[in-house]
Amino acid sequence: MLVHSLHVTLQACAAEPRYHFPELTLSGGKFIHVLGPNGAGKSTFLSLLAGMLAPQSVALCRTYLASNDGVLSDNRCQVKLSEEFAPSVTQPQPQKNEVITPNDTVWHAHRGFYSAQYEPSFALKVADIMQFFVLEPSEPAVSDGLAPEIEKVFAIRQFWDRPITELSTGQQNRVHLARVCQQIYPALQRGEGMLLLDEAFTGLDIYYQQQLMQLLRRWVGLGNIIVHAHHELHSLPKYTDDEAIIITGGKLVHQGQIGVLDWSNIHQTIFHVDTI
Amino acid sequence: MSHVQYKFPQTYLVLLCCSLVLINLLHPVWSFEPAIAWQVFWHLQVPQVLTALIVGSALSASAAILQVLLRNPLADPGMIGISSGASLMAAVLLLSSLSQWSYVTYLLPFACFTGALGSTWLMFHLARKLAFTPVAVILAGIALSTISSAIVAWLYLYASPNQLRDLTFWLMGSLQHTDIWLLLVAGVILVPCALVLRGLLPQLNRLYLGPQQASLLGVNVRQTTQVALLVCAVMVGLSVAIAGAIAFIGLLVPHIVRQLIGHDNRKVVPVAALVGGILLLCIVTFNTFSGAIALPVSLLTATIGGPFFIYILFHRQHHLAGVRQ
Repeated sequence: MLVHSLHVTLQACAAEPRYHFPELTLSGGKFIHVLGPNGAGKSTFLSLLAGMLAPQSVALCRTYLASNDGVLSDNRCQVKLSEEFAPSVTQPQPQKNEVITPNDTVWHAHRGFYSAQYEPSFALKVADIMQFFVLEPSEPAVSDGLAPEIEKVFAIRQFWDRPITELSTGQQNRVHLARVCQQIYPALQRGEGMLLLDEAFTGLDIYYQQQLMQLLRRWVGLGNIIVHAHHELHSLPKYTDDEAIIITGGKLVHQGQIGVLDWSNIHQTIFHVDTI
Repeated sequence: MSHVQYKFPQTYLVLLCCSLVLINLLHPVWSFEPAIAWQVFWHLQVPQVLTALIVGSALSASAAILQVLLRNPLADPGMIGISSGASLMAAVLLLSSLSQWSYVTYLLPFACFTGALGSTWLMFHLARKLAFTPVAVILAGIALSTISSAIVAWLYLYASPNQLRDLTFWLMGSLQHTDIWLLLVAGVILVPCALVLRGLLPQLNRLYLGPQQASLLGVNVRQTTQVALLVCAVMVGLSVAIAGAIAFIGLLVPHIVRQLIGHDNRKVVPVAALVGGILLLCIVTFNTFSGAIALPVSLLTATIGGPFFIYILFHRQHHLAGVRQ
């Protein structure tokens, strides 16, 4: 059995000193919802996880655990945003750790980051975007272009030879979502991916929202980590087994399983509404 | 990954370039006596052809790269102030007492390079202060160009009639004011520039959607930008040094090339360099066979480039209106 976990330690970031996140652990195979009011720091939180703001303090650690007969069989995937993390994971057998930092080229094959803020200056064709912004294919499954699974969800081949600037906002978002998913697709297939999504459903038709959610659930089932920052509080009751992280004023104020958190209190104190 | 297929006969471009080179080099053979033909060939045609190839290639390739770095398809070394900085330093040198020095021709490239580098640095930092939007880049470039032009205009007041004539012709661009040795030096400098750029082209493809997307794919954006800007400044500085200020080549050529072969910089930059060389070779051919006085290059390029620029503006406006609907 493969066991993946994402261990994240977020400390005061020199680049964004007003944000203070405590040490926290995100489990692999979990869908994590990042919630908070406008300007709370959700996007900054995702950027920290992506290694964009403090890349020297991020590490993805895959731990191989010894089984009873001493064979290294299971593995554990961890990410920690802390310089102190690396020494702590280099423990003697039976554990063996592989630490990947953003300075390693393979980091970009494990972490995908979607943010719906693109201002194309050039009329790039969709095919150009998929060619330029997807890492070199490392598995036969994606060597022939867009993975069928991703094409099925986003249906972007119909725009393949059209400039991205001619597409609607929702269509552009589908292209960029497909691009980010394709970037780390081999890792997602192995259950070793971390997909960070900033308001991924914005602008998508309900059909594509449902398709995307099904795909993300499948990847979570494989052991990947999906972190989605959004404002869709009304949808949370459907996902009581997922985790939620509530951020306000640059601080993480609540974290836990959605079904366990005190939502009445969160609605009143964080979002200033009585109920959703 | 399946690539976009563009059907464009790039082989024909190479054949066209070779044909123009041969036509211009062989023209003295059937037009002059053998003794004169050799002089015309060696002292006029060879330098002109080499200047056209070097300057056209350098300006077009650097413009294609600057447009990606600055995220602005309208960026041109002249429009964003790089050529203006080089021209300013050249004007200062030509109007100073150093202009009497016999080796001023060899000092000019260094002056132009310094000017190009300085104005690139200033433009880059001004644009960054203005949030580095495509509009900010153009505005910063226009501001720098205006300041450079103003200083050159002030220098005119203190120039002698001879200096004034030299400067005017030089600022309008000429393919005939150089010699074979200076061109060889320029070629020696441009070869490592081309090699460095070749290594940067895959990273430049990833800069199309901005620095954040590039760094998410592992591109060292800061290093790539600095190296590419430095190389572009060298190439533009050299071009201005050997042929003066040539307008619109950098705007025209990459735009046409992207329309024809797409946006892959691994193809766009070399093809733009080839087309830039061909365009200036056409001007050399026109001057060679028209029998008239050698027309300033900018006169011809701006005559074509001005209307084309208006076409691009309207085309973009139409395009953006279509997107908003």
